[in-house]
This record gives sequence, C-alpha cells and structure tokens, in this order.
Amino acid sequence: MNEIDELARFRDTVPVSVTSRAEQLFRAGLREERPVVPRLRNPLTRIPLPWRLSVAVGAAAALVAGIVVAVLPPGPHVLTAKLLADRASAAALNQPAVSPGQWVYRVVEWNRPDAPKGMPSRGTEAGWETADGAVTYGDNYSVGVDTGDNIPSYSELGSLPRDPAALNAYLVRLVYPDSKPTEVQKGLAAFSVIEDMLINYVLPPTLEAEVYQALAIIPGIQVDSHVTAIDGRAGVAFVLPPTPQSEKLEIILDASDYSFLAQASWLSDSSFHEVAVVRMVIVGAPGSTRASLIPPTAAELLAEQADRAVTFTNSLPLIAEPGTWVLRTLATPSGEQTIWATADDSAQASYVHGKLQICSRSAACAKSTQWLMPAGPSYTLVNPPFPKGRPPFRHLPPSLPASLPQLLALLNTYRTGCADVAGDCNAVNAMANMIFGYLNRGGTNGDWFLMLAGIPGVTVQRVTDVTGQADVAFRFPFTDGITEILLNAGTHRLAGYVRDGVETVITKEVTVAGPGSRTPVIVHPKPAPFPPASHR
Amino acid sequence: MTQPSRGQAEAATDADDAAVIQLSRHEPEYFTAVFRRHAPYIQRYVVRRLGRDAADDIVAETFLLAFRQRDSYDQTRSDARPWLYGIATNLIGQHRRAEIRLYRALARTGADPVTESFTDRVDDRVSATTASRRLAAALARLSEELRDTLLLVAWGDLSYEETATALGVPVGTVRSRISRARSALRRSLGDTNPAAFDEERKP
Repeated sequence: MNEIDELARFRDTVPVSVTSRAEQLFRAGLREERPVVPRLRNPLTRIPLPWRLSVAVGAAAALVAGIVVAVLPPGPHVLTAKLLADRASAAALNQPAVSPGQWVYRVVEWNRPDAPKGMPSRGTEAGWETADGAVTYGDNYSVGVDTGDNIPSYSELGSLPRDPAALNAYLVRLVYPDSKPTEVQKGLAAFSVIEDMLINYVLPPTLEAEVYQALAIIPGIQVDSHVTAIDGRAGVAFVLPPTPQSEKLEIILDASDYSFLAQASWLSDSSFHEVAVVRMVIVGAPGSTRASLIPPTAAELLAEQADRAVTFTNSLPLIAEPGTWVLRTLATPSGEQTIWATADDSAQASYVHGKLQICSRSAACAKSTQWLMPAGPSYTLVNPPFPKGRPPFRHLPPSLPASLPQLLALLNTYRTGCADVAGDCNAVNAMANMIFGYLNRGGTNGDWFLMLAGIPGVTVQRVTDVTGQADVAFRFPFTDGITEILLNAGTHRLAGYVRDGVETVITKEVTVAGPGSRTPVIVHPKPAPFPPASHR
Repeated sequence: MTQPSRGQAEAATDADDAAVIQLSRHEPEYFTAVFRRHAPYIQRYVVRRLGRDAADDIVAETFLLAFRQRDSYDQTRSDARPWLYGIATNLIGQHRRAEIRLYRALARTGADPVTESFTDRVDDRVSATTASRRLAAALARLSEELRDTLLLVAWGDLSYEETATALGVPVGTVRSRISRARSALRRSLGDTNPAAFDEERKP
C-alpha cells in the first residue's frame, strides 16, 4: 500500500457522479451567448470580523544583539550574493522581535500569467495572521496558510543550526529525509524551504538574518540587482537559475531597505508567478490595520470560534429541502423528548400518549416546535431558493442582508413579545428561530454569531448544561425570551439555548425519511435526466 | 440554428473528444457529450478538493470555460481530460483557503466535511480513517504546486505527461514535484521506504 493508493482510497469516498445542479448550470450557460455562472456565497470564505479599532501604539523596536557576521559595507560596485546577504541580514536585525502569537496584517499582490481565459491573472489579498502562520483571517486570504510539511515548524525555529552550511544541510534533510539528493536538488530544496519560511512566517530577526547568509552559499546562486516587483517597487533578488527539474526561482528584497519583498518562480523566459508583500503591519488583533494593543472581547472570540466550527463541519444541510424531515432529541430539566419537524419548521410531529401527532406549525396542537418565538424571518428569506430559468438572473429571490448592522436592524423589526426592545431582544429571539427552528442550507451562517457578539451587554459564561456537558454560552442581559445560546465548550458547535429561564439542549439532530422515523437518511438530490426530458 | 437531436448527440459519444469538440464549434449542443463523458469524474475531483457546496459552480464553470475556448483546442489530442482537469485545477486554485480548511477540518476532527453523510451536531458522526486524517493533514501542508500536481495524478488519474499538459509545465517538473509531494506524504503516513522513493525520482 503506497501513498498514491491511499490517496485513491480517500478520493473514492466521493462517488463518481455529477449533480443535477451542476448540469443545469452548465446547460443554462451553454445556451447563453455570453454564459454567466451565478456565484453563490461560499460559506467557506468568511468576512473578517470588524474588530473595534483602537488607539495606535507604536510597537517598540527591539534591536536584537547580533551574533551574525552582518556589517553594512560602503557601496561597492558589484553586488555579490554574500554582500546582498550581509545587507539583508543587517536590515533583518533592525526589525522588532515578535512573539509567535503576534498578529500581523498583510497585503499581498500576486500574479498568475497562466490563468485560463476569463480568469484573473493578478490580484490583491489582505488579511491577518499570527507570526507563526498558525491562524489566519480574511476573506479569501490564502497567503500564509501553506505552512508546508517541508518547512520547520515555528516552534523548531529557535533550535535551527546557526552556521549557514549546517542550516542548509538541515533544511535539505527536511525535504529529502531518507534519500541522497543531487547537488542541484540540495540547492533547490534549501532555496525553496527558505522561500517558504519567509512567506509563511514572520521570522525572528536573528533567524531571518541567518537564512540570508544561508542563501548566499547555495552553489550557483546569483544576484540580480535590477528587479521590479509586481507592485512596482525596485528590488534586488537572490536568483536560483533554472535546471531541467525546476524553474528559475527568485527571492526579491526591497532595494531601498533590503527587507523581504517577494518570491517569484518563472514559467518561461518572459512569464512568472510572483507573490509580493505590499504591506505588513504588526497589529493587536485581527480586524485592525493599525498597531493596536486592545484585544477582541470574549464574545467576539467565541463568535469567531463558532464561525470556524460551522464552517468546518456543516455540509449536508446544504441539500436539505424545505420539506425534509428532521428528528431532534431535546434534553431539558424536566426530561428528554423526541420531536420531528420539517427543515422549514412548517410541520411538526411528536408522540402524544403513544400516538404520532402531526401538526402544522400554526395549529394549536403544534407543541414540538423549535420555532422558539412567535416572530422571525421566513425560511425562504433565510434560505432563498435557487432562481429558476437561465443566468443571468434578472430577479433574484429576496434574501437576508449580508451586512451585520442591516441584519440586526431587520431582525429587530420582528415583534417577538420580549421586554428589552431597546437592547435588541427582538433580534436575538428572531435569530434563535433561524438557528434552532430551521435546518439551514449551508448550515448555520457563521456571521450570525458575530451579530450576537455585538449585542450590547452580551457576556460569555462557562456553564455545565443539563446533560452534564461543559458549554460556553452567549448570555444576553434580557429578562425574558432567549437569554442564552449555548455552544459546546470543546467543539464550539451549537448545543442549545435558555428560553424564559428553561434550558434546552439539542442532543441529536438528523434528517430522516418522515415523521416518526428514527433512521438517519442521507438527502441526495435526484439526478435530472440528461438531456432534460423536454429535449427528447 | 438547428440543434442536433438527442440521437445525434448520443452518437457523438462514440467519437473521440477532439472530434466531438470539432463538431461543437458549429453545433454547441455537441459539447454536452464532452460534459456527459467527463463531468462525473471532474465533479468527484472537485468535490474531494473543495466539498459539495462549491463543486457545482466550479464544474459548470470548468465546462463553460472549456466551451468558450473550444476553438483553440489542440485537435491532435484525442483525450480532453488533461485540458479539462487543467481548467478545473486553475479554478480550484482560487479557493485554496477553502480547500485547506476542509483538509484541516478532517485532520483535526476526524469528521470528513465532504462525505459526512447526515447532519448530527453531537458526536455520532462517521469517523474518517486514521490514514485519511493523516493524508488530509499532509495535503493541507503541501504547497499549491505540489498539491495540484499530486492530485492530478492520484485523483485525476492523469499520467505524468498528461499532468504536464494540464499544468503547462515540463514533464520533468511534474516528476520532481510528485517525488517531493510523495516524500511529504510518506512521512505523514509513517512509511519510509527509500526504495520506492528513489525509483520515483529517476528522470
């Protein structure tokens, strides 16, 4: 069993089939003169949390005591790799040291000349990450998340060899742990790992100084002192010439201060991929683009954790239809109950004296509902149906506003009968209906937690719930209605709620064939006949 | 414009891709035969890398981009898979962060967000195998280039030559990338068989 077979087995957990929706999108596009594929919100990419900006505080620059050979020489006429390394090392040693968890804000510009027709060949991304590259925030922010297996972990950085040759040898062994690479492969490996370390981490200044020295002694390394980075800045580059096995690679430094600027790999003599760091600032918390020492609130952090939990774990609710039946088991202080409801909560069922009773939500017999409060947005507003017809669509179905202040304002217009109207209790109650009453396509929207975190007076409490599980709760300063929303303290997934002083924990939630059924059912959309029947 | 009948489009399924694409230059409906032939495999590839939610759009977009570029299709290539997988891979590249999130989610939780078969917010979800978790962790850490190259071979079933065509790089680059990617994976899976490793790196 080798790793390619293992990969194939992993792949084979996904069936070979095309969904009817993909087919419909393709066919609709094919019939259009200028095909447009509608872009749906991808729940995997999130909008960064609007942390409160705070007073800018300049980070004190700590000059690290030098152990490296670096000296800033008077301007020579020929820039050798060693000379460039010395200048870059000196510049690195003038940078402040940061802790592994320190947040930085980065703006990067990239280009990708081989992008297919119609796709962007260059772009800019901005986002936040910790110095160790472990956590990143930002919509579509992808730089810094590839902390490759071939590079040392951040915690290892302090124990890397100090001698440039020993450092290179160490880095080569990371790439070729159990074989003997050629000289060319060794150089390529050391160069690639250093490149990855520079782009993925904010390196400790002493180490950054050392990696430049290590670059300078790679056999065949060259210097190009007249490089223009894609953001227009003048640069000087360490260049690893192309070989039959690899492209030409460059590590580009800013010509004005010798700080790390960009990495580039050449596809041909005239075309290259490049990622350039346009801006980097040390900040106090994700969301801020200025130096800041004020951390996010506990509620904001919990919201981020909950957001990430739903982002990672929800996939099946995507294909729940409004009429799909859901079985829920609820734990309350007065005992456990099992209830059934449709995904849109329009119909409910429960056993009453041993007999299954099915009711519509508005009926008097409807007691099993997870629609917790008497008002809130409709299922179709929360989960708008896919538009009919062909793209481009002139009339998209109405949906909730994406902006959190607008969402809050809208939800506050529902009259849920609670007392603390000025404190946004209506919005919290309406949201509880959306979270607990519906089985949402795409799962609970992570942004909703961010709205909850912004409710005035919200606090975060550690609690033990009715099942004995450790939870962490958003607690709202209301006297009635929904006063707590509980999340599992370990997974940060939704656990339950407190309404009018009574705690309810959802211990099970699965899709089933119908009311009364207890067997979980996978909801798969039926593939449409191809081509559609109307064309026969 | 006369549309080919279903029967004609069906008949086109016996022709090779180049012939069907040639036909579709004048009769777009023929391109549905290309879709029909390859979309289920492309969908599996995209779903495995990005999950079901994003896959529909990307699969449709792959074939629509291909359709728009059909005039420039190299008619000497009877198999369109490298072309299609290349386009799909480029589209996937715009969702790198989402892809890595999926792998990391699987590696961390043991629950595969892609194949998770029913909703259950508590803990009786189907666990992925240990090997899958390690693979996912390793895939998350591979560079984009290595991952694209490796997955075209392992998940797209492309040969090294076809992968080189799909990515627009020399076949030697594919070989060296595969070798680097495999060594990273092998370490993750705890298997260090130097013989298998060396065999792969011969140019």
